[in-house]
Amino acid sequence: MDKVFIVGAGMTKIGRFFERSARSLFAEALWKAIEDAGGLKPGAIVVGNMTSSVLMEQDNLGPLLADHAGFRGLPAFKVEAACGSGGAAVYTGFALVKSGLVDVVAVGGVEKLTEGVTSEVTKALAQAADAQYELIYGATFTGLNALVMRYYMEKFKYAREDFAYWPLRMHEYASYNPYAQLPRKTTLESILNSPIIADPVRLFDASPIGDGAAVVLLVRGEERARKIASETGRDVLVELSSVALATDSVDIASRKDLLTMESTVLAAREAVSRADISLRQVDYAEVHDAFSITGYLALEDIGFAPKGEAPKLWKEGRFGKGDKPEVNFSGGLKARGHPVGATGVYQVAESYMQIRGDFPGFKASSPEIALTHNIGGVGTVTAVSILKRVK
Amino acid sequence: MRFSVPRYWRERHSYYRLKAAKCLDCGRVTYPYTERCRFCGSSRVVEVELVNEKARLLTYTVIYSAGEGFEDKKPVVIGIVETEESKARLLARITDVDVEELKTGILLEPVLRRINEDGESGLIYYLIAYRPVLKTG
Repeated sequence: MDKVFIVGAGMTKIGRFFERSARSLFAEALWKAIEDAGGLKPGAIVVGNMTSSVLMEQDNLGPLLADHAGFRGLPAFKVEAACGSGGAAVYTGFALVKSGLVDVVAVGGVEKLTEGVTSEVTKALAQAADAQYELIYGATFTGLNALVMRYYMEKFKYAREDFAYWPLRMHEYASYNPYAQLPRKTTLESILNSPIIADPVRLFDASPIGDGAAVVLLVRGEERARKIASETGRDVLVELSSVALATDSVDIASRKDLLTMESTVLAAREAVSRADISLRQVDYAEVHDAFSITGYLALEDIGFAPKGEAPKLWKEGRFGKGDKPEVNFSGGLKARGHPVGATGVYQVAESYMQIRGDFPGFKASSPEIALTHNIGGVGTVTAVSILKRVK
Repeated sequence: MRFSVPRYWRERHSYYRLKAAKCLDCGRVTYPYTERCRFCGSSRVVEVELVNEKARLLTYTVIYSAGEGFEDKKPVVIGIVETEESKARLLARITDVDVEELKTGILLEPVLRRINEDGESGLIYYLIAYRPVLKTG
């Protein structure tokens, strides 16, 4: 089968945009991607989004976004997998292109969280969990992650302070990222003194609430990709080598192991195998750190760190500039931001630009192979993509 | 929450008897009851009720930023408990305890509690919660 290539990317800055609508954010990202690809227009639009039904009271999102971006008539639909909606959209778009059904697909994500007040947004995001057996008791999404964090701390003997090094570094990286929602450095003291949301999770352990949209353009066939690259004056081709998706239970209590995100284990293994690489070859990764604990579990369950050791290795400085892999130079969900259904697409767009060498933030060391990792729920669904530089 | 009456009512055995599924093939007990084992897919499952078992607190959280409908219930204490005999795990409200007294590993017993209500004329949610077993004598 023909290979799939990424030929353009567009992102909006992430923030609380009371003056912007989801349609306007999505159109901006889409047209930026089209311009980035030398004017190449898509034959279909796949959009990742979680909360439009609840917070925007809007379904039928695909056609709405297509129409308001000037693409009335195109096949367009929404893909929902909670916070993993963006990754699931990449999975779907990849399949459309790879299968030969559509030659050029715009895979995007958009989220407009600031349409609701905090308790409404908290409830909308919590719907990633089991409504009948978790939310009914008053559980929140942060609360569920807090259950996992405490269990991890007690099992592997970590102190609260050990978790502060994740947000510390994410804020540092984000300070270079013009698209980031929180582009400012912070201190251990601020992190450790931030308010408790759901004990032991503090405000600085959690990704912020924000709006944003991102789009990547996928095309089939090396010849087409090479033509676009030469027309846009680039000599680097980036192949979307594989995308894998896997699931686990929605409720966390019934899991075999509360501290292993089985969907991540499965998706990472599958993506690496389909890309015909070994995990050790990955130079750069964007991982899903909705909470500090999620970032550490991601490193372990993808296979970058042994179980129970990620916080220790991270504190020692691993996964920074010059290491293999380098991780989350965007600032991660923590500080780049987490416009839920768009996050998985941001990760692919950022990794694509890192391989191309023109990511406008903290730069990776000329990566050839990148991995992106996007989760929905508390490890309930994971999408993993592998990107490769092609000479 | 804004559950319809049937949606709440049809789960009554799960909510009030803590009806779970014991798999005769892989041996696991999972809550709530499902007709197929959620671990191995086997249809050879039997019903067990967890409501007569005590349980241990595996992990807990105290939620200070509550979701819609729970704003006036803060702080909300949630835990994952493991039942003593069946070794089934479930998420539940932890009740009748001071936040300072919470500790993983403590022994708990099920108790019926009013958890929430949908406004003044909506459903009232009575559910099983867990409270610490009082040390006697």
